[in-house]
Amino acid sequence: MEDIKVNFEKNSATALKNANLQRALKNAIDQFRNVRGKAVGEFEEWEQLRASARRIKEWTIGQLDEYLEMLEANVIKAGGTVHWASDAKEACEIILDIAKKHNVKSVVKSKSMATEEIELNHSFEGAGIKVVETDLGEYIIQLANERPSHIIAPAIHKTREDISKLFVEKLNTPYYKEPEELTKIAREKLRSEFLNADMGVSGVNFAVAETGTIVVVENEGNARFTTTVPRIHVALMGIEKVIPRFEDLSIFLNVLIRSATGQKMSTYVSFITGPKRNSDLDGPEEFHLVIMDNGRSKILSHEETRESLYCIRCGACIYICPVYKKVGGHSYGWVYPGPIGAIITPQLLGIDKAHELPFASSLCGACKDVCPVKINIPRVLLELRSRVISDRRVGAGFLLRIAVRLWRFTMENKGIYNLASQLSYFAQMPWIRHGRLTSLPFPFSRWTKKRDFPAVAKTSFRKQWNEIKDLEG
Amino acid sequence: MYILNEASKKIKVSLFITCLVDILFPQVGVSMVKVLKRLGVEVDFPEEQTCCGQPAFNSGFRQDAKVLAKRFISIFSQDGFIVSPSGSCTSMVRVFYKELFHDDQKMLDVVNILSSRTYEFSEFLVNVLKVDDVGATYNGRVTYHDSCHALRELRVQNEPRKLIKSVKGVDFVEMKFPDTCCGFGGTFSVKFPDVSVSILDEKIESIIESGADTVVSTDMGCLMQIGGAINRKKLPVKTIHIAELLASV
Amino acid sequence: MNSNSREEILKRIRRGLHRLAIVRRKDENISPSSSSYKESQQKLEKLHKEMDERRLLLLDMFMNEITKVSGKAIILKSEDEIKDYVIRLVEEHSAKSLAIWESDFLKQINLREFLEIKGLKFASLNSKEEMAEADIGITEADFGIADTGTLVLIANEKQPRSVSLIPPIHVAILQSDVILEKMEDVFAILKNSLDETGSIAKLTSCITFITGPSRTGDIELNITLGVHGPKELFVLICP
Repeated sequence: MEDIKVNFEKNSATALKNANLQRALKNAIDQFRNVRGKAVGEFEEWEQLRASARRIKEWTIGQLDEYLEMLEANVIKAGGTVHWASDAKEACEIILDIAKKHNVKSVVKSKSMATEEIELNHSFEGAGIKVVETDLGEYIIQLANERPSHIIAPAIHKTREDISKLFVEKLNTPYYKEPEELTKIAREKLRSEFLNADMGVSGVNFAVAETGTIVVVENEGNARFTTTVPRIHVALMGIEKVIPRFEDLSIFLNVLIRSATGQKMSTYVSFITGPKRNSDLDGPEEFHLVIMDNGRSKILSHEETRESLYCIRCGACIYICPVYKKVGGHSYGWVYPGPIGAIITPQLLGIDKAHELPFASSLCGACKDVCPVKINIPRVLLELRSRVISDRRVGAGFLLRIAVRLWRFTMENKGIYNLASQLSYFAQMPWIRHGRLTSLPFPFSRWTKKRDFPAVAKTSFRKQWNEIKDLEG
Repeated sequence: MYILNEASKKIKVSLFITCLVDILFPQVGVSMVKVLKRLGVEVDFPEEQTCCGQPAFNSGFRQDAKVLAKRFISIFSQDGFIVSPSGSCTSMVRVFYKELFHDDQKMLDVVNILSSRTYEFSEFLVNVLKVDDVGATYNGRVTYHDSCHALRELRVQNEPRKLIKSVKGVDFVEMKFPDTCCGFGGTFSVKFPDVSVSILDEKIESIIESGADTVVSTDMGCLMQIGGAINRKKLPVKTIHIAELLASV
Repeated sequence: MNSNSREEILKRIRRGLHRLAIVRRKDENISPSSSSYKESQQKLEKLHKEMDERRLLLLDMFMNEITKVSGKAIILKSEDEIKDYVIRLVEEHSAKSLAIWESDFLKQINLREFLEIKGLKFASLNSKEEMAEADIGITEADFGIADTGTLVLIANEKQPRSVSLIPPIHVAILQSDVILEKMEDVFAILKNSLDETGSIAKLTSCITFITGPSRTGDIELNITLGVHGPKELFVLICP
């Protein structure tokens, strides 16, 4: 994790030139916006629900230590084991340890962004343990050896042709183009993996402190398999995933599912409390919950950006972001794309590792309006921007600082401001074409490369004021 | 017929013109003054004003932004309303000054009062002066682009539409996704120009699809971005600020 | 190593929240919208009453919703109708081997015996290999949620999870008097089968909400059914 550095400028440039990606993104996002619009629009209590969800998150995060302790006690009461991991390295060690102790040769995984964070698959492979992603989207990108580009639909950047070619190449199947046929192939291949795996690793959508229950939300059934068939179940969660009471789930499941997929209810929701009971005929013999920090307590300690932890990983902000729509998930350089990625990646990796991300936004605020827990993402982005500028490792470039100083000096002195205004009128002369500026030297060329720039007016407003101030209506 | 509110003879407005309008689009300011005077409002222009500090704030230079904010606050300290032809700049004063001074209770008190007096032009007309029809005439097929700050920080959405629809001769059409960002985002437009233009292209497509010959907005930042592409592509569409539309007779 | 991390993490959290001492909060004030045990008992009574009075309305709602998610719901009026319908499904799908719960209602109507007489084989419930060969899985549903067309299945010694998961076809028998309106209602009932101290002894190892057959949108957001879970879901509703 230490050697990751996000290069948004470079990544986004590549993405913009990829016509296939542009098409895939546009298609998926336009579709999703329609579906989500209906799911939320038909739900009169939507705003109330968002407010409740936010309130509960604020409360819970404000007492996080207590709720985590409560959760731990109840998981243990139910016969499970709880582990605590300070960082990615430790989380991998703990999980590998469990695998080794139980002679695990193969693992099936259901979708978990937390496991992507810690690069768990890499650790398993390093230890010679076979690991298979079972969520169809994750399975596809595992075959392609790529990172997920969206947290709910990881293979959203791939067209059906891309996937067909991938299956032909990696699975030796005939070339099938229809999603139905592709899905059938995946179902067959993964069935035997499920039935033979020694261990299942899942994520956690919500962990209920009061009952020690973890909740896993899905549509495919792969998480049910992962948490039912193998004899050991390991669930990894970030510390922020805990919610107080069982009944809070009705609020959170509603806002999560409608936001993530536009459905009223996802196909399967599993409420898992500990391992199988002695009398149960199936289910895992052991249940391990790994509670992971990995930088979240650091976010917690900054009041201005604490709300970043309220995120329930629904992905709605990603779908609605106009920037994401053009640059795709990989541009964000790590596990979390889009607006949520732009705020947590710099906070989890370190602001010097991802200093462009807070600026990779037009601050349009669409994300703020769709977030089911009402995180004010633009506000957090602005806070992070100021952290970048005052950070000693990044800061602002020397030239930029000078420019800002000059600019401020101009704005502080009306006389200088007026002078600058006058001067710019004359300075632009060589570049005026038909009353507009069509090409300017660097750095203004960044604008004029693809857009015209308006010309500075001959008479500024304040100069005209004296004439118009005495006009009648 | 426009409604002249007798009471508005007592309404005083200080113009917060914004540096963008002052230097690049003075006609927008002039239009605003014309319309306000037509409605019997007393207008004044504090000449010391320059910038509210938003570009510095958005770029992460909070100290510099604070200096300009304090300057702004002292210049606009008199009574009456503060009205601006920009949703973006109005947001800075009304919403983000609180953010800027969040750990300074004394400044916060001052800022809260300032906020309550500060309005974007179209919301001022509809919500304060209670006017929809300002007696304007404009012949054309007009569509409206929601500026992100006006829409999502000030919740200004119906007001401009009401005003536009009341203009005689206007054939109003809604474009597809009028509330989607145009890609301007202030310094974003030059920090990530290719992404900015890519987003802009989709907005231009929506505008063309709508069949409009005129695009109106509350923000010259957006119109500069949209107009910049329209001019480069030589499209038969005009971009005008809502004040200019309302000033035309 | 591990217990150190636990202390470290909790310490970091407390420090981050500026909490110098651990403040024990009363359980009643656990979160903004708390309700006491007594209140939830009252709510339970109210729910049971509602379920009764609104039975037809809830049934209607349920049928509507489950159809929307590509589940097939049929209202049957007697034990015999249930058995006949199951046989029909077996024949239509050329099923040879079945998996079935040993649960109360299914035992009561002797469904398994009836099917055995017809020559059908049954997978042993604790053999995943046999489960993988089964063509149809037959369960009950402990509750139905009308609002979303959801079945609620509670795992226990007579009700294993795999029966509704592994075979490609899932048949669930739902009695109309356990259909509730919303998910909140189910949580109220489940929660209140805990005792006053919130003991989870009765909250079983796994409760599953099932809403339609398995599906995915991972390929171009195009919906395809039957990814890993059952491709078809039949809900036989009886009085």
